[in-house]
Amino acid sequence: MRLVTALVPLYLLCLTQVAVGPMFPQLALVLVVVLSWGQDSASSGGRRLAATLLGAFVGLCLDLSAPGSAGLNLLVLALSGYAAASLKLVIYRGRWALLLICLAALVARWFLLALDGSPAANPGPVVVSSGLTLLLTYLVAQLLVPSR
Amino acid sequence: MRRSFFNWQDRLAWVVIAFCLAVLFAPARLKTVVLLPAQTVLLAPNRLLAGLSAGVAGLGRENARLARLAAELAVENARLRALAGADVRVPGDTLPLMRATVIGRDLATFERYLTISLGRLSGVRPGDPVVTADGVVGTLVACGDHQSLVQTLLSPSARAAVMSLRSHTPGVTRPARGGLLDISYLPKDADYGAGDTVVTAGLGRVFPKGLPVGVVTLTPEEPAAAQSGLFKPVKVRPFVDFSRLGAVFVLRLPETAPAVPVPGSRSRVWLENLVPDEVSPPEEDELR
Repeated sequence: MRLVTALVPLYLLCLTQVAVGPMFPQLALVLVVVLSWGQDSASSGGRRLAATLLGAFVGLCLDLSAPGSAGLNLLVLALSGYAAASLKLVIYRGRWALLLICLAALVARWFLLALDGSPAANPGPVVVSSGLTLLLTYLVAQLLVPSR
Repeated sequence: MRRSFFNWQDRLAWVVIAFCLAVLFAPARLKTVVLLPAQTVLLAPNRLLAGLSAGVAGLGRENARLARLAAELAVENARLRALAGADVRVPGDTLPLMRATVIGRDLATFERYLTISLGRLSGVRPGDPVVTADGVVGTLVACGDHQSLVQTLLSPSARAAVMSLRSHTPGVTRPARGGLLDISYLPKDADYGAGDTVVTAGLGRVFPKGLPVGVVTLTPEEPAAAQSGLFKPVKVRPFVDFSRLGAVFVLRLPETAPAVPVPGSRSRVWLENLVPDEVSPPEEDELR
């Protein structure tokens, strides 16, 4: 149920991100990582599956703006969700781990963009702004979701 | 730890990731055909919003155009109505109007001074009349490069030469309490009645003749002393609501009225407002 509930704001965020174009920061990616990190499921496998589906859904929504080159956001966000949910099991200092996962996802995205033949512009501002957004988002999420 | 990564849920997650990888390397044509229906459904809100915003922007432009047209027609209509009963040639051309947005007000009353978004670089100058589709607003008293200060008719020092549209009795307005205007120094037998439309008289080289100013109101609260004075107290309610102005029009008049009227030019129209009806303007040959 939580997964379904999380899809609604993510869908709205994707619509916004598609409307403004590939602008900074990559809020969708940041939110996928944060929500995947906070996934609450009975088993670790279920947590990873839910996070992967979450990321795939968001990636699909983002890729729909250009169906001809679809797959990039789909793969990156699905992997990011899976990685965030997996690392949650072994890392306890979540804030910094989240930041690292987000940065890795951003780098992977730019790498795949380059492979895809659309060389990215200077990725520095995206990485910095997404990292800061991630921290803020995570702090807000921590305030909203009571810790167990 | 190792076993926890190989349950059915993890396998399903890897299937999803493999599917994503397959999508990434699938032919672009295939992806387009398959994903197009999904795009139609999932991005429908974006298309709806884009259509709405384009519609709103178009409506804004259309509104500005219609407001300008309404103001031009109102000015022209008022001039024609004012001149209908007089033996004065109706001008064939209209005065140029420049639309300006109100970007500031005096904080004390919101009604006495306005700042508008046109300045010297747009071609406006101090003294230019400012109007709306409803009627006269005031005059420009100071112009910067990109903005100007408008003194409205409710400003304490603002005066305007007016006349009754019905009786053509002239007078001069000055601000009164309650957002009204007084017409000063009218003789006791001046032909002003409640409901009369008051328009500019075209005197004083400020406002062209015939711009609507307001309507004469009854003044039951007028003190008896004023009633028994030398002059007739007349109060006018302006057509323009000065506190709610969002956009105005600056009338660009000729800079100076030349001594010799040039037939067909705007300066002739301007000069006609200054010359009494029974006196014909001198011909060009006479002045040479």
